[in-house]
Amino acid sequence: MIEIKNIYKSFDKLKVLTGASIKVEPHQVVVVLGPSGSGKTTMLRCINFLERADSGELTVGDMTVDFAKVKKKEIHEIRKKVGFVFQNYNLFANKTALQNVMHGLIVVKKMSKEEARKKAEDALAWVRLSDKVDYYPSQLSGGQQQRVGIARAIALEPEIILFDEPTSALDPELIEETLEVMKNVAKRGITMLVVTHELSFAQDIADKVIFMDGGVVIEEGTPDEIFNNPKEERTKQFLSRIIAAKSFDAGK
Amino acid sequence: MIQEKYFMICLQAAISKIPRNLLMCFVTLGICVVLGMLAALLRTYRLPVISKLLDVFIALCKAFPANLILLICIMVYTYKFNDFAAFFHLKMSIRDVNLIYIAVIGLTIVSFPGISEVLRSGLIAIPRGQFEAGYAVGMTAFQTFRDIIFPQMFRVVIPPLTNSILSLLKMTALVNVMGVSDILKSATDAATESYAYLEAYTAAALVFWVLGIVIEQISKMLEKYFAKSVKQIA
Ligand SMILES: Nc1ncnc2c1ncn2[C@@H]1O[C@H](COP(=O)(O)OP(=O)(O)O)[C@@H](O)[C@H]1O
Ligand SMILES: [Mg+2]
Repeated sequence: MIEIKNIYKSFDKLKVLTGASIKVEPHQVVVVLGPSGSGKTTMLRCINFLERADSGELTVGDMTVDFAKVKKKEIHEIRKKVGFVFQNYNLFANKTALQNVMHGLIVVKKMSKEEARKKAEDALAWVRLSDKVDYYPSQLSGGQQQRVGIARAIALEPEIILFDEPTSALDPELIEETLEVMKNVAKRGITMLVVTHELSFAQDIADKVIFMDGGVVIEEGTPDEIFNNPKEERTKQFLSRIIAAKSFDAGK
Repeated sequence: MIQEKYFMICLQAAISKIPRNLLMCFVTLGICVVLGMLAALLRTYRLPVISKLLDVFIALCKAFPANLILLICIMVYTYKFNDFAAFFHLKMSIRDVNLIYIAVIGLTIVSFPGISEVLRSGLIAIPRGQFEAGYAVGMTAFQTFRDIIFPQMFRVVIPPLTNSILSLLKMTALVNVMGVSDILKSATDAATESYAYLEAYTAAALVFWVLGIVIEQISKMLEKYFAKSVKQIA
């Protein structure tokens, strides 16, 4: 379970998060939607402290911390409970696909090398990359890199995995394979908090959809509620714009 | 013009000091890499006061000619050593072997700015995402640096660091201003009786040339070894 209460974050004078609250129950898949610049990335980054929020409260599993006075040790503990899949993959450039997945298991989870290798091979097989284990990131396509990124996150068995627009840097023909893998992650019962503009993914997989704008949660509900009966004007506008853009893309 | 007999004598004298020049070169390099790495980290992470002090120190180091710094070091050492010896009633004289350490200190001061700069350029060449990926996996800052950042930095800095090593090696020929015997000094010493200075200089040049080639080749091999992870740019 993960819960953010009243998170605030500014970059100098720019107020990016202004009291957003979000809750994800165990085994839930929650999708966050919102226009560009609404603070979605910043919120995810604050959850595993790649960015320091100014105030608010964060609960991950049995740990609750105050953003304003969290200790270094607590940050480290929370990072171990939270997986992160980056928009631009961020695989370790000096390590092969297998090593990318293994490394955290050895260094963070203190597994033996053989055990870690076995687990990493399983994770890579699971994202259908068994034939690429010894490839370096620079030798893989974007879609393959992102699948390694997902394998790296699931192998560590975190309590939740955060996805920041995992398909938005991919060519259209590579998006589908990545979404397919993410659907499988969801089916495994792994708790997920996903920022994405892929409405079909949200529709099919999400237990809850959250619409964010201007650093706060505007509206949340089931996919059906949000997509078919949005209550807020801003949600309606955003959805119609996204759908228009999609059909424009499809028509090209 | 060059007499083979004298040339061989000088060459032998020069060769006998190869270990000493290499020792001074690589001990200095080791110290500079450790200190330079710390400095690069401090300057990159902008610890306000310390990084300002470092900037001033590095600017000073850069401003002085190498042989001047070596001379200052030996002067300070000479005075301090006498005070020190007198204070402890030591019956010690300043020996050559001690001077090598002083030479290393001098060479470190001379080479530190360049090497620190090279390491810093390597550090800032690593994308932020590499650090963040390490943290996200649950690694500590130290583990991330050791396993992810440093190996990538190393690959980036091999060519410029090779240049630093070569100029450092050449600078080891300056230590005779401190009275330390090295490849060049030893070769010319061997020539004093016969006045075969041309032979001596040629012999010393040959030795430095070969050392330079060897270092360059090792660097090329390392570069190739570390380039394997970037064989293909996607
Ligand atoms: N490190 C940063 N420094 C300054 N401004 C930032 C930084 N990161 C994000 N921002 C700003 O914060 C706002 C929200 O960004 P972001 O969280 O990336 O939004 P989203 O992911 O919803 O598009 C944007 O205006 C962005 O320019
Ligand atoms: Mg974003």
